[in-house]
Amino acid sequence: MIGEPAVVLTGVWKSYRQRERGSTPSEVLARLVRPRFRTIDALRGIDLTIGRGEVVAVAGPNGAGKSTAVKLLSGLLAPDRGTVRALGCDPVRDRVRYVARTGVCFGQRTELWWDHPVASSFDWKRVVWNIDRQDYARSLAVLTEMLGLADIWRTPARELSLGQKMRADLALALLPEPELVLLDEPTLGLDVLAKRQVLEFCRTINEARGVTIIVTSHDLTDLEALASRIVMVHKGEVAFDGPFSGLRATPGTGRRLRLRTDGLRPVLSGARFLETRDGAHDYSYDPSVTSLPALLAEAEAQTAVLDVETHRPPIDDVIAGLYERWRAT
Amino acid sequence: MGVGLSHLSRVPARLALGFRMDLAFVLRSPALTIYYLAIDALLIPAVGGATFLLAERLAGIGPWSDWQVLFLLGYATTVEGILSAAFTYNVSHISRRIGRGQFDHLLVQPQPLWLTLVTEGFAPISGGAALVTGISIMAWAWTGLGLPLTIPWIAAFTVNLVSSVCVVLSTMFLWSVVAFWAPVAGEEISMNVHDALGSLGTFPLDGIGGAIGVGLVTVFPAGLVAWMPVRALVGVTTDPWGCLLTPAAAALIFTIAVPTFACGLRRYRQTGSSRYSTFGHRR
Amino acid sequence: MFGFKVEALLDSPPLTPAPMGTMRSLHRYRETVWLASSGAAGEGFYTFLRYMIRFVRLLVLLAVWQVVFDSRDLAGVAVLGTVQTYTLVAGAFGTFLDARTDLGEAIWDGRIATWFVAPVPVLGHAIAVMIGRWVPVFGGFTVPVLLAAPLLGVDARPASLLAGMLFVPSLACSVSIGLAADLLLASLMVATGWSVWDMQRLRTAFGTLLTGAVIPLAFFPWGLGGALAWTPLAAMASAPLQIYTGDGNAWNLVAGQIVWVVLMGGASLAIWSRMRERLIGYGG
Repeated sequence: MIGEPAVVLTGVWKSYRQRERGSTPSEVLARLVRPRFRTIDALRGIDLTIGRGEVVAVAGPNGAGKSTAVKLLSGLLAPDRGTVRALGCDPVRDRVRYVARTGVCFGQRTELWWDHPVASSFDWKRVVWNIDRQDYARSLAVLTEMLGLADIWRTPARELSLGQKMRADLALALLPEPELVLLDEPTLGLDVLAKRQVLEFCRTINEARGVTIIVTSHDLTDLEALASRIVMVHKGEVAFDGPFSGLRATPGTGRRLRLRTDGLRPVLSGARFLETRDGAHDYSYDPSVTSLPALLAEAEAQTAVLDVETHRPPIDDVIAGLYERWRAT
Repeated sequence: MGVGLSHLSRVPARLALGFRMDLAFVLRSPALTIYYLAIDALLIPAVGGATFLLAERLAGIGPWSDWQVLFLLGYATTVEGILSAAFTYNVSHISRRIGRGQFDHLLVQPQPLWLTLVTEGFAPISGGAALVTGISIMAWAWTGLGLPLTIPWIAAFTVNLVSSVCVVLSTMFLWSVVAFWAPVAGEEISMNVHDALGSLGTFPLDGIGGAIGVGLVTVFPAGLVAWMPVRALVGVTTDPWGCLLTPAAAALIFTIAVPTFACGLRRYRQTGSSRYSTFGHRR
Repeated sequence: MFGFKVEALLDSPPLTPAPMGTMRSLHRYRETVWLASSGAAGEGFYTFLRYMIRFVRLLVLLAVWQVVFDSRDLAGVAVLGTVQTYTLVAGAFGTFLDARTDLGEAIWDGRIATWFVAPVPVLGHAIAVMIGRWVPVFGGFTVPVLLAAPLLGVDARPASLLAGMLFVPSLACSVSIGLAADLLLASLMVATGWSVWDMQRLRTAFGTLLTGAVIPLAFFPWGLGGALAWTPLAAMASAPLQIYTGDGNAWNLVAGQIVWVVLMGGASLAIWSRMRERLIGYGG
């Protein structure tokens, strides 16, 4: 963590009340007379501190409370209980001062002016964010080069592809050179190349300017390359907070072993069999419990081993395993 | 959050930006713009056209002469014209943005909300056709009525016109608060209120007494859109205080609308919006 | 991992489409009607609020007619009672006299794509949704307004039994012409790229002014009413309302409407079938 915190969430609690609707005529009428509601606790007393210059990934299954957290940090929502402080401000009370120093990019909603070319949205942002003309020119030049805006500069927003729109939106969020960047699903719907461009750009501005970046996404393989820390949210609580390596080290998320044999599948007491594909047998094992040489010795005692591969499981598999375990409990 | 009146000096720059963007929009597709302008110029007065046709056929309605009814129509069209030129992009139809979750776009801007609402919808060229039509109709009726062009009359006219716009906007914002509590059902409520104000606002409402009569100048102030101010301006009533009624009512409705909307906004801060639609104008 | 066995899927026989009789086909529309109507009715208090706005507008119109008749000698032009009945019925049945589907909006926002992939005709689906939306309007506004008529001092009964009976097919013709207009405007939208909002405004403005839905055509100046009577605009609202109030020859009015149903229905379907090809690139 570098310097004073950029974001401090203390005991943040956020609940929603949702109206339940009927599906049959009698239910519709009954609910019309006597409405029924249910309360959803999106966040349940979350404590979180993020230092300046950190890149933090916020992940969790659908409905875990990620978007609520981002909305709280964007100044769009106030907590029911607890406090939210970001860049030394209360995002709701000091909204104007705060949002001038932050950049928010929602993957599902564009900030671009729909009927105008991309250039007009940037001009609009310059005036509304009160950006000095020289600063604007400098910032825009960098963004144009790094995010390839030149080819879409004169295109109306409604004619942009998803990837182009995302690049333009990201550039728009970063135009005022914010200290804190909030990215909610920034890679949603992007192709591999566009995704890589966006993430590389984020890494560059973090390294060059020490910008704090908080990013939510379901695309964790990409996030692992960008973020130094991951916060897993589950049922409104922080289920894990630490480096990706720490997540991999959580019980039940061991290494992978692939054995190619002369046909027979060895039964290994220290490893869990996963699948056989193209003549190779995949296992999962926990290196802190079982050593690799011991497993190989056990395999060779049963059959001739032709080839051995070990690797870390993809982060998506680790997360999927966690989600599955959470769902089971 | 604060009112942030120190931001007042930024208004001209915002309006200039709106003008620039609007001009660019118009110049980019002149054919489409001509179509938009023509449709505005024709359709907005058409809403009150039924009243005019009736007045023309019967040489007036109640105590109103046909020229006075024409002035009423021109005035109502001008009010509508100001709304479409200065409060477009769903600024006046704020319930849509609340209901569709698009209100977030306003809250991430580093300026007080009032500054956004006052300046963001400024599109004087693409939205100005109805204004031109309204002023033209009023000028025509004005010559037919032989009204005096004195400074007090111009002052009374200007104050009443601004007050009528304020009444319509405040009423739409007041009803739009519903969308903070019921985003789906309330999404189009400002449109319904606007349509009802527009269609009722072009009728001479003399003779409507009782609770409805009172309601039409208070709870649902369609009578303040054109009927009450024009009555005083064109001499249907000789009440010397007639010209002050609409401004006074506008001040009152505005005073109610602001804290009510702020109350809705506080709720939005608590609940946010569970739905988001990219469809429809966000600005 | 997914909580089901792949074998179970492999073992299950493929679905065989059930024979599609008329009743089964209608059953599918009934489901759409139900969903659309329950969705509209579920809005509760706010729907009531919208009905109240419409009701106030109706009251104002009735009061305006009172002022008009009190201040002018209209003997030979119209009778106050008839005009008030005309206004009340126009208000009560206003939604049906201006039949509109979601077609334009669905094309504009690309939702039409989901309609095309459903195994029902697109227009059938659009009409089913429209009818679904009408159900709560009929129960929550039309019927209460007709029942409240005596309290408003208006005789809401049709001019005669025949007038009442002919009003139903006349209203059906009016709806058909409204749907044809809807289809033509949707086609125009696809052809020109104009926005759905402008299409709707175009229709609302002319629908309000020239169909006789607000002011009976007899009150139009410069012989305009006589000219409009020969157009489909009059067939949309003026004709059924004239039939209901016993103003004019009912059989001639219905015959005129049928002519417009055939002409506009045929034209709109023909144009729509051409425009349908261009829809692929339109909705994105």
